[in-house]
Amino acid sequence: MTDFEDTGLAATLASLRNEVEEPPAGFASRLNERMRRELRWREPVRRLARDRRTQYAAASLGGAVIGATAIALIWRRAARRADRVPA
Amino acid sequence: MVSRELIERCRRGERGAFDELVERTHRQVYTQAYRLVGDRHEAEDVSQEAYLRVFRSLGTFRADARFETWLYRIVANAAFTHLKRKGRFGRLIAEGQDPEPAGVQEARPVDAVVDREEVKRVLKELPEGLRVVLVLRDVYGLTMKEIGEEIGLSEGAVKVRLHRARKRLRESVGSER
Repeated sequence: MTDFEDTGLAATLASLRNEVEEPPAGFASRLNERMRRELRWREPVRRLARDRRTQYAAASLGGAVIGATAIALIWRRAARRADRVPA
Repeated sequence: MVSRELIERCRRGERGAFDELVERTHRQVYTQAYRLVGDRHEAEDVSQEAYLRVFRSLGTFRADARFETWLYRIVANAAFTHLKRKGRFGRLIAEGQDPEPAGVQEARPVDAVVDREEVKRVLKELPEGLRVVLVLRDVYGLTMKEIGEEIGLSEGAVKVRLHRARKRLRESVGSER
């Protein structure tokens, strides 16, 4: 391995890093177009998720859902208990 | 060379920053993809996938790391995913175990002056399993550990494969003289 690193071959291989193949025509614009499409829906979602107001709204909604579920459970249990009580 | 400032602008999601990043790096990315998959059309698909991954994971990029090395790894990973999808990843794993081709003579010493075009041609003819290791190590400077993590091989297996790839390259370049 050490022998190889001393050869001109190793130097030639390393120098290939700076040598580029010319991409097909329009390659960069196709790439940018694809990225823009990706950004179009991703960026607004990211911005929305970072917005404090969205976070408060999500927390409120989450709280409301949990509260409603708890009330529904209590109501259901109470209803079952009432059914079981003999007349 | 990509500046830290440009990376920061991309992270903030600034419009135009990603275009600039693509403009600065797309030739290198395309070249690396081409060297790994060996086909121009496929290299374009791999490059697109690599940029999507860059875009998605730029938030996890450590500021103290070298962007180029990080990018090389992402392109390599996208290339391997592509080869897996195409059913060529098995070849990537197995070809390193190929027997030595018949008729190859003992390597002649390769002197300091080496024809780049010849090296590129021989590189293209190497089996995929050997070529990717040689390209990632000797062209892009990834460590054995990094290469192993990308391909899913142990460091030892990568070393063995690299040794074989270098030997084949020396033999082929040497035998042309």
